Amino acid sequence: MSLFIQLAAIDLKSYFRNSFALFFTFLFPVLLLFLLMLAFGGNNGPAKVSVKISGDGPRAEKYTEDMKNILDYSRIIIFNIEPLDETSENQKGVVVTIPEDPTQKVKILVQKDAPLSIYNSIYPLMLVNSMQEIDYEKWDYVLNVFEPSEASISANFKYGQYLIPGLIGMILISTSLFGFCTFLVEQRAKGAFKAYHLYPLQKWKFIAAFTSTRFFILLVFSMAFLVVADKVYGMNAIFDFALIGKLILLISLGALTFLSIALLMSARIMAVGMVTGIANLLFYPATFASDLYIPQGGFPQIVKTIANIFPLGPFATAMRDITYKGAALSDISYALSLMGIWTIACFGLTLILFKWTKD
Amino acid sequence: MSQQYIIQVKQLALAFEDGTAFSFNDINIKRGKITGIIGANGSGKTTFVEAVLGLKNPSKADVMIDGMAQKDFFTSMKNRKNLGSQLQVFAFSEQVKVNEMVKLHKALYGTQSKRVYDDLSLAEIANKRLDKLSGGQKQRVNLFMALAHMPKLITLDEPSSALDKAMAEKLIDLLKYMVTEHQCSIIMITHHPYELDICDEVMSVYAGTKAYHETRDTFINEIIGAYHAQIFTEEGEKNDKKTIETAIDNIKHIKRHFHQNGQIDIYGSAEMEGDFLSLVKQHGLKSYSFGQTNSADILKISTSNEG
Repeated sequence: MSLFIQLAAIDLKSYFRNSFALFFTFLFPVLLLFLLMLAFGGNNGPAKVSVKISGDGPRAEKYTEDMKNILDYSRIIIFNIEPLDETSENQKGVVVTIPEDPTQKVKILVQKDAPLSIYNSIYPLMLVNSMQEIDYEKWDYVLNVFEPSEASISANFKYGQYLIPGLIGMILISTSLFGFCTFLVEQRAKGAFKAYHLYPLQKWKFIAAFTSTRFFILLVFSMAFLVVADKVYGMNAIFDFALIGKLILLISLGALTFLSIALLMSARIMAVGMVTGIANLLFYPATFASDLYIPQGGFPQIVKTIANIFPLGPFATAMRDITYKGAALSDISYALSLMGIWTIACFGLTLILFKWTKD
Repeated sequence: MSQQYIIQVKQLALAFEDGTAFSFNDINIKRGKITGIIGANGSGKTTFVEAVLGLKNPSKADVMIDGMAQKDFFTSMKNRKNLGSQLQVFAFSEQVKVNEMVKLHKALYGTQSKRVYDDLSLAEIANKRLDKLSGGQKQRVNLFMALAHMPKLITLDEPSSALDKAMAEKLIDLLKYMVTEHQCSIIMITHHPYELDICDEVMSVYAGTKAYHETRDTFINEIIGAYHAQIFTEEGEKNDKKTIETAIDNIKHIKRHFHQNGQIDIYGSAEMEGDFLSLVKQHGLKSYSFGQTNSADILKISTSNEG
């Protein structure tokens, strides 16, 4: 067996014997999917708050205006505010009824069989309330209906269709940073690479074997995760050969991209504490700002611009587009090109900069 | 460059952020011999070997390995196949099994000695994961990776530490076999007398530099003294320690002596025996010994303040 295959096989076997790695690579994304779908899965898109104005009184207008302002200010973009259309049979949402008479109670109406996520809607309403100093005692919480929105996702787009591809992006970056980059730095810090430096083994062969193992794990697991999650939550992707081919290409490139970023980080960072800190510093802002499981719409433009240059957001968007919107490869050419550039640049720099020992 | 030497260090200087500095100059390590490197903890033994192996960043380095500049030596995979190193750290992923390490070794070097495999008794731990092994068992795997391809140049860092007595003896026999039958050159950092016993040459390191580098016999006969006398002083002895030490100073043929924890060690040539026994008699000393200097003595002196 060639040295490359031997190295990769040993690393693969080691990986599957490491319970810590197994948890964060495989179990953690599944748990996150389960929890997020439990919280938001019944929500077919961002919630819409409908405001019922009793009459055209200035009190209701003032409240509505303030609510819009406060929602804009707080960047909570999952709520759209529109006048209540009482003629519509499908009218859903959190309905705030503001009577003209200040002595009467303000009502919040919530759908009876609404998912838990609907209660998130109460937060901005309460925020407005506190600004307006409306007496809480005068608020009624009544059950009502709920409706899909067009806020950042199209009307027929389910939350699961948004979340599952986003979580694959999270799997790629978390495994790359915490299961790959930090592992490499830890190994070097304890002197493990000294032996490899002395073996008859080219640097590129070691890096390639190690990277290919993680690449294989990420590709297989991401595909399995997508298919199983789609079926379990009934997101209705059609996994024909064309889609599978496009997914393999996209996930492969995505895995290579984030592994190459992780490799570059590990090339010169010598301290375990520092690499963990930097990995966290990259991971949390990147996952929050990249439209993985929190809609990006309300972020400032500068954040959106940066997130669009970092490959995570474009990867997640491309995943959604090809999986659920029937996009062709040409439609995701920006994401593919961006990831290609990042991969080549990071691998190239790694080969130049990678240090085997910390001294 | 002479074929007589496997390693030639003209100059090797290292400085670390904590202020420690190491400087090794004019060190020639003979081919086909076992060279023991001795010295106190922190004196620079491991730093020296790792710097020679290119694992440190020296501020100055003029090192030849097997007749090649250090950098050229490590550039060639063929040269690296002729190198075997057992380092202090256990370098492998803890989840790997021993038999997988054996396969990796075969893939790395293309050749594998059954004798090394058998002598290190790897068969009995072949299916165990490294994280399930004891320290001694891990050391056996570490040694296997360094020795199983019968490399031309071997570096060992306290190879028998953590090994039980029987395994340590097997290792010593194996090392002797590798030198005599395969003309291997071994550089061995050691703190154990039985390891030092098989060394042809000894280099002592003291305070970050070479103190001595001689054949083992020269080291004993000329630097330390071929004979070793010991006096064990006790409470209530009729002569106090100071008087005894003054008397020792008057003994001829002494090379060195020192006093530690109620024990006086005297090193010198065989001719000091008469004077020493007179001193014992004169002072009525009950606990004493006289004999040839051995490896334990070399190690004791090398780790003392005298280096």
